[in-house]
Amino acid sequence: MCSYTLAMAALADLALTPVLASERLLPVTAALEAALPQRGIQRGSTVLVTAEGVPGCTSLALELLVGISMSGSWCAVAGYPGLGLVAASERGLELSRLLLVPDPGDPERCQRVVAALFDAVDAVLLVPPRSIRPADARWLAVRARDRHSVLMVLDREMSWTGPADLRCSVTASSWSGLGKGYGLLRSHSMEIEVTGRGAAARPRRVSVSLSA
Amino acid sequence: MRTLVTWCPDWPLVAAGLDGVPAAVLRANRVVATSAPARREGVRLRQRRREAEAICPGIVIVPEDPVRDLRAFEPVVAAVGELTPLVELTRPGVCSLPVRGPARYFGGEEALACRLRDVVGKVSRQRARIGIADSAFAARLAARHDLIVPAGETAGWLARLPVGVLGPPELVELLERLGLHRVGDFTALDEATVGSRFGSEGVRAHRMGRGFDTEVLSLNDPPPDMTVSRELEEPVDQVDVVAFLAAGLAEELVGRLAPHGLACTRLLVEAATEHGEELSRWWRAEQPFTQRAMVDRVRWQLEGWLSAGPGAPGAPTSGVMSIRLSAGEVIPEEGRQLGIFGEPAEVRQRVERQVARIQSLLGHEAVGTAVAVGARGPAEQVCFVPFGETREEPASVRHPWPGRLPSPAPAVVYPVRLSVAVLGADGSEVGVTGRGRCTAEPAVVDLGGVGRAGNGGSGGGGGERRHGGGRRSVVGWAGPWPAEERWWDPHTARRRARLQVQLEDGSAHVLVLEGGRWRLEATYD
Repeated sequence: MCSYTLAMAALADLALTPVLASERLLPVTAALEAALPQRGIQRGSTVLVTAEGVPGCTSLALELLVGISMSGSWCAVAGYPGLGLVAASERGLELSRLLLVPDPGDPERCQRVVAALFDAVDAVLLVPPRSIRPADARWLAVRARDRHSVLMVLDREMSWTGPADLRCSVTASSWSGLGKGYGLLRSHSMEIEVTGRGAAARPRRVSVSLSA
Repeated sequence: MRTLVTWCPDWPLVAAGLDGVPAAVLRANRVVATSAPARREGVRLRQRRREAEAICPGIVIVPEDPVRDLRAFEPVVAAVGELTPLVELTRPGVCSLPVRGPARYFGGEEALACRLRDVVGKVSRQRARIGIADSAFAARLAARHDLIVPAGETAGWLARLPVGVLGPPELVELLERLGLHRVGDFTALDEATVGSRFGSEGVRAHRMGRGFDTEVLSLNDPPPDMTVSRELEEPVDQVDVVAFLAAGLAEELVGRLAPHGLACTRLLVEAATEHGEELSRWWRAEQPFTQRAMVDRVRWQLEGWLSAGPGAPGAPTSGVMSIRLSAGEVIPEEGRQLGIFGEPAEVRQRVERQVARIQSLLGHEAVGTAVAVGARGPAEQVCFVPFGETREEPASVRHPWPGRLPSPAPAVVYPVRLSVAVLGADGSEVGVTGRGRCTAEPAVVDLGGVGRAGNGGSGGGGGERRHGGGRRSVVGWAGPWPAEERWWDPHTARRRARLQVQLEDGSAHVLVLEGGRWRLEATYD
């Protein structure tokens, strides 16, 4: 089949699944609404979650995923065997609608796995392999846009070279409630900075408090 | 449930009065039943009429007629019903009853079997074969061998039989190609594995092979919505009309169960006549009743009652006024169920398709979902379940788990736990006493190799490498939470103690002490 026919077939495919503007936005939890320019995450976008030398990266990624999961969507986590699922479930992530691929294999295989996940679920949290090439990263972002699925990249080491529509980074993080030999970790507050393209071009800074 | 099955061999021939001569019963031009003399000549099931006649010239051929068979069997059922009211028909020639009560009454299973053999012999002039075993399925097989399988030995007895007895031909063929020739070979497999490979049909066969009854949701007293009935305006005694009405009712009943994902395995057919006679009969299915199978049973039963001549035992003396069908036992019919999570089925199907793609890339165990289970450690409180498998009901989440860390849970739980050192202000190792106290106040945590060693291997990514390692002073700590697990079992017993620490760089961790060594278990990230 020539590439023209393929392209037409792909177009026809897209035309058959129209997406309403309101449906193009996936909800986030109330704590994060102020941080995001559209008060939600655009379907098909790539969201980069980082932390600048402070903890809190995983909590932020989970918080973003929880909003999507609570709206009834399926989510997936790839390449993150250490994700604390109890914490995820405590915050409201529906475990029965969460696909886990703890080890997606080498970068080439990982790419195919994530592409399949885009077809299955509405949001994929990916910890990219260290050796992912810029072209592959770009390809994943494009694929996510094609499939109206959110690619959320958890990138502590700032190694993601692909594009990102939103860049959420934790600039400060602190836990409170614990004393010397007494008390408990109770609440977690984070300073978050969100930048990105388009409406998100102007950086937004919010402080978020997550308590038990 | 311990069950007795009475089987009169070659019943269709007996009913036709042809059991003493070479004869065969035909359905769609194929032999479906033969008499003993015909078998001696070499007539076999599934032969064509022409083949049978070539092998055995002079063979008497009759068409299949379940109503005739049932009518002839009615007196037998009625006679067995004198001994116990709980008798259920499986098909003409085969009926079953629960053993427990009658065996006690008649003084043992052996005595009950003798008694039944007498009763059936007197009515039908046939020697019935009787099988008793721990499940209805096993009892049917035991009846072929005229055998009483002692209580508790059913699984062992079934294990020696060829796998073909389990039923579904496609499944059996597949199992044989996989080299599983005996039931025991199949039942030795793990149920979860069978479920993921062969689906609900496989799980059902697996249960049957282990001597369990298929899962039963309600045993007795079917709830009202599993009953359908029709009152007739005037008594009807034409067989055709009644059968037609009953067929409609059977469809209604199947249609009522299907939306709940249920199928019926035991059916009560009842009819009341103008003279106030009440006829009722239990039917038991070998496989869950399909709509077609249920309609057939109901039609046979009603035709059997109505076409028995006047004066025949149990025959009604007037027209039928009402018909009622009740589902006595229902089992989950997974073949037609909608989305498990109540979501539109397409979403689930889409997920399943893509998961299958990923599984083909990475292997079956690589994709899964998590299930919350009751446990103490943050890593043990969820259990990874490969997609498509079901886990046995885990230890309950709701039970108290003393020693469990309070909420919030840590966001990162390390798959590989690295050793750390917890030191007091004077530089000595901190331990935990038998009474659950720290031996010294933790002042410094040495994260040592964390962050440098190749933790987690390739693709391990995640949170392992972030902390630069080295010594950090403790700004806050709580605990320890001692957890003594499975102390009653010397092989799996574990004693651990957990500590929550907050370090000078703002990070917070869970450290766990076991066997004198502290390890980094989780991080509040």
